[in-house]
Amino acid sequence: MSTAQVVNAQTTIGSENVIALLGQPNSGKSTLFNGLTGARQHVGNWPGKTVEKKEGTFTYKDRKYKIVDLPGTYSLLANSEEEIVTRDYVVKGNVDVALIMVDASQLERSLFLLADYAGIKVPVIVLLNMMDIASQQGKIIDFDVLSSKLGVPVIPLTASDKKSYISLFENLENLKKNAALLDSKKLDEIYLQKIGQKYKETKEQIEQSFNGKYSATWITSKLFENDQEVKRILKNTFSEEKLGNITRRLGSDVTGSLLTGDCKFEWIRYLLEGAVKKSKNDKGTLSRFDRIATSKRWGKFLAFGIIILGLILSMILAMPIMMLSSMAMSSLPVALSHLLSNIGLPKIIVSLLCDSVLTAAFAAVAMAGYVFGISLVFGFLEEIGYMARVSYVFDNSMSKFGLQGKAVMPFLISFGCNIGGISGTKVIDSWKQKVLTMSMVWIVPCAATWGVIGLLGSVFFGKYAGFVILALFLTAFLHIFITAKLFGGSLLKEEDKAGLIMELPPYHKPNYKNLFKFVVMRMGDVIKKALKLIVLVAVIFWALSYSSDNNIDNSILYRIGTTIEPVTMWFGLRWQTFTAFITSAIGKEAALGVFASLFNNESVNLFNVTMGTSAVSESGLGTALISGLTKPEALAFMFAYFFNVPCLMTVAATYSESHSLSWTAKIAGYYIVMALLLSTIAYHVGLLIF
Amino acid sequence: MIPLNSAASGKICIIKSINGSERLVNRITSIGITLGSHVNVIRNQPKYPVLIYCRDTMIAINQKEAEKISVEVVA
Repeated sequence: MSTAQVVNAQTTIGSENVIALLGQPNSGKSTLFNGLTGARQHVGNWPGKTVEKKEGTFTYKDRKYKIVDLPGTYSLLANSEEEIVTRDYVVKGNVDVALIMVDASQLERSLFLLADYAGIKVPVIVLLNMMDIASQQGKIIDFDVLSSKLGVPVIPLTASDKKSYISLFENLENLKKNAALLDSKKLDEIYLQKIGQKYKETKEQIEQSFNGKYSATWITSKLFENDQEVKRILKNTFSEEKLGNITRRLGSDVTGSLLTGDCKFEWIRYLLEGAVKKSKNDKGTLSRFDRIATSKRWGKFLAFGIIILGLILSMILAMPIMMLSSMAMSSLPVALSHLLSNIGLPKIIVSLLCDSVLTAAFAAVAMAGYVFGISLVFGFLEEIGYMARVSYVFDNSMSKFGLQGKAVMPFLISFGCNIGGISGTKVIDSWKQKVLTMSMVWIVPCAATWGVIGLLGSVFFGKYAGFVILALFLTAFLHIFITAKLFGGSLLKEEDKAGLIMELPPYHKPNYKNLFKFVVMRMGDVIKKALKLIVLVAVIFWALSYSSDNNIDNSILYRIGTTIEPVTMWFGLRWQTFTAFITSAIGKEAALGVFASLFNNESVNLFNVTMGTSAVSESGLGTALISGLTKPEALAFMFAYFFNVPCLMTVAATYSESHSLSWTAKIAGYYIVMALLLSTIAYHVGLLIF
Repeated sequence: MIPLNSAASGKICIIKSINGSERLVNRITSIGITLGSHVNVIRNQPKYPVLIYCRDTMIAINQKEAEKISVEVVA
């Protein structure tokens, strides 16, 4: 290590060391993060940003470390929010050391991030991951040579194997002593050589006045690249006029990064000289599987096939949890209610606890079963690298909606169950894209929706049911386009709308144990968040629908429903269908049961019917409906039901995946408004036709 | 010189120029595609992103963006 560059790590006043984790996408960064932190991690968003923030802690030899997993980026340019968030955190976040993950099997390209980091005055440790693949390629890497050229520790490891972390831990132990800044002298020379004298002059000007964790080399090269963020930072040091002079003399323009890119790769070549011995020269031919996976004739079919198979497999995996939960849901609440009434608790409390809270809790567990199955199967497909191929094959179709190719998977899954579709969005690359995908996936009618629509269609419209369903579909397409424009407009920025430039990583074997552990941990997380929302809504709904003698006329819901009926009739919904519309936001499959209890005036607890814990006889439902509803009303209801919020568990899953209550609420509000709007239109069209 | 999206599958090309927005230039550079680098066109089919191999990395580039990259076919 170059002694001239050793810097005393400014450990934070607290007892924690703070680590920033950087790396390009597919470098195995998240694997390392999960391996280090296990369950001790938390995902949220950077304050005020649409970028996910992942932080966690781990302990080694009695010392606590906080580690922040920064978004995977190819560079530290000012292209995207992800890159700016990364830069800002490293420099302003009291970071003791930055761990930079480098993919040893794609060494040259992977070092670009390091080259873009060079000049930032925060100590670095370079981690060479995927050493196993590198050795398969016949690469022999001399870490000492690399380390001496860089001036910082270079540690080989395999992120999926925790045993290989020991060297990293030892380095972290001696952080105070060993913390070193990246040696960027050679890079500086290359810049000077390729850019010329103006580079030197500008650098000296910066050096004189600018003080901060960015070196003059870094600032000058960024200015040359026309980096707007850096210009903004410099406004604190230089006047507008002076800054203008500096940038003009330097000649900052769009071709700047072409030249600096050249310089950075030359620096990388210098680093690797004498440090790497390659033996195989890969031309990059497509494997046989990939030839099919990316072929224009078979690619899409293969993707459909794999996604459907994946869905079936997830159901099988989810089955034990779901069966356990439904068995519990059918027997425990009853048993508990007997117990509680026997000890004298008032009937209303018993109902609250057993009907509402307990049932909701079991529903949340059943939901977690779905999440588990989908996360495991599709997490696996993402880990091995197949989802990138799906992105390739569906890029053209999905980008019309502003979505990435992978988004086709959540859409397909949602035809079975929207909860699965939402869980499937975990493979989406960015948070913004994930939320946008989720907002559109809600439109997809799940299996339960089909059943109800089919029945209502045949009861009311007989052979014309087909037309109604066609109308629903066409409206759905329109709806998706509006959603894409509305939510895409507010979520995506110019930078996100650029065309696809994506790496197709080589297939690699995932670590099954790590994947499983990670999914189980995430499931716990999902349950926690979802549970709160589900129980809350369940309790509110229970309170509204509660009636002491199971007669619907005594519930608050009935009273409100009948009172506002004049208003709801504008939408074509009388109080029964309006109530059914409300309950369909909780659960879709119960619609028929709800109708039965409302139209047949059966003495059933509406809440239990909706949650599925109470069976209702649906015999004679057809005749009851025809005598109770007119055709336009039926049409209105079908539209309202179809376009409504999918179900409470989907909403909870959306909240869980987006970890944003506000966006979940926005999407829910939008769907409800649209559903009522469409039902109004359908009703009035119905009045004209029938 | 031809745009990258006109290069046929199987050809090897050298990147000659990139005429796009700053964003495009930045993204292309940071994923390893620079002026003078050798690029192997793995697959180029209409309506799909162009698949290329550059610096040990398989990359998919949208047809529209690929059009802004000029290359010279060498093999």
